[in-house]
Amino acid sequence: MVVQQIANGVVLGSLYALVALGLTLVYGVLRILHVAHAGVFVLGAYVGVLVYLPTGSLALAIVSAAVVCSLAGLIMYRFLYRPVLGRPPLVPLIISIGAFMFLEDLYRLVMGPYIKSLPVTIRAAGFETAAVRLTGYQLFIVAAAAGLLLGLWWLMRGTRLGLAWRASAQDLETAAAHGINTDVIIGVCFVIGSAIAAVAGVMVGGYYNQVYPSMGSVPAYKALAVIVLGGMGSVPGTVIAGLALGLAETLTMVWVGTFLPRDAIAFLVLILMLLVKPTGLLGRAS
Amino acid sequence: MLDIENLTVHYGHSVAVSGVSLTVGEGELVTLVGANGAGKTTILRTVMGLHRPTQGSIRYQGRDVAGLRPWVRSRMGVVMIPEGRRIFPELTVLENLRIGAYARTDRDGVAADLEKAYAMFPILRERAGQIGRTLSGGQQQMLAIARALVARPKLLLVDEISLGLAPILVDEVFRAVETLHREGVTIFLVEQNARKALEIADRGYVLSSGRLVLEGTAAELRANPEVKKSYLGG
Repeated sequence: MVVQQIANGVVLGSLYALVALGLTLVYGVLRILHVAHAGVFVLGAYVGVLVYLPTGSLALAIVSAAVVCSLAGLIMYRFLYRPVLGRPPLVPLIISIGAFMFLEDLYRLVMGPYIKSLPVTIRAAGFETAAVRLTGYQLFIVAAAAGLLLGLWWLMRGTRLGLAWRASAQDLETAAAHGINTDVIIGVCFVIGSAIAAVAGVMVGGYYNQVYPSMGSVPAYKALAVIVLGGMGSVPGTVIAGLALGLAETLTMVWVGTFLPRDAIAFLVLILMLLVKPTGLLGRAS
Repeated sequence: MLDIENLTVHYGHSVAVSGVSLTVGEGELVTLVGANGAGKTTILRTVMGLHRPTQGSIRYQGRDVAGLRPWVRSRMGVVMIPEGRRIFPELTVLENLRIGAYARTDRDGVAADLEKAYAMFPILRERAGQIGRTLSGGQQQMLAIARALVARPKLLLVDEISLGLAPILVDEVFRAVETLHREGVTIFLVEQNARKALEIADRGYVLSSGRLVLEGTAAELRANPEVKKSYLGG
């Protein structure tokens, strides 16, 4: 039972980490809370439905979702955030919340208010022992998440772009003054963050076999909890916090039972964290 | 090389710099001195493109650069050593220097300049793999200078390079600026330490409350009773 819940927690935590990464990347360079990011996640799920149902190809669904969402992320940066750079942080925050609500209603108008199913089947074999059972799809989620995270890690640590990116996240202005086109770096953050959210959207839609307009609300606030837990702007912190939250949620089911609503746990953990270490797991006081 | 004409800059609703005109000729070391809050840093940041002027023009190598983004100006040879060093705290010393040379494509030239920077500050070679924030204040300032050097500046903007340093280090960083000047780099030096600045500068301007109040050769300014009284400690 416990081993099974740990396995479930890792699957759930991988998804949380993927959704929250986009927030972390954007917060890292712009110090903006990109709440509308959860709207991008839902867009990814819908593109997944629109592509998967006629073609039956999960790979095609994921790639299309990533491409469409990258563009959407870039457009949001260009037309929502860039015009208000340098304004007090409340301005982009309110814009972002407004954009998120707009997107939810847009999906409701265009795709209808009802749940669409995304009946993904995958040929990969599952994994089963006496203590734990993982479906092929669950294994696929964990493997895809691990692959994406490793790729991102390589990009940040092993490439020239990654060096410019880390410098920009530490001091955007000084990076710009040293010949780094920070506008491009910020755009890259939106593209990569949105593409990863799109992948997560398709995978979550397939995991629960449902896609609906407001499916971004819960991930939106959980992602906020995850990035605060991880230490605002820290990529490894986000991954650890995402996994920790997934595990906390499934394990409390074992030990505390359903007495506590699962979605409340993110915020209990968040409150505890803020009391103990306000800068988050891997955050540093600036 | 740098011609600023009638420059006015606002910070929020208050005027930080008002109607300033000054020039820095090719190969010159020109200093801008004045009290804390006089607007010196604002002028430098505006030249770099980090701040938008309300009015006036900034010409670099005869070209109006007012509309250009900071990284474009940097690639044209305008390089800044910012106030407070502003090294990248989570990057290593070597990575900080790589950022300095980021826009350059001549690998051999970069390698040579890196050697030059290490020769100037041998401690940086020893600490090449160390994370920036773990350096001492003096070492961070050396890193900020080295980072500018490997960008191979044509016009070097130096902002309060001696602030918060022990006297012995103040001498060392000023010597570094002098060395760069002797090698032909044009330098625009903003400094609260007017005595030191006027020792190494060719010419100087005095800024007070956002306006230029005096200008002249460094020798003239050093001899000026007004400057002596207000900026050189009598």
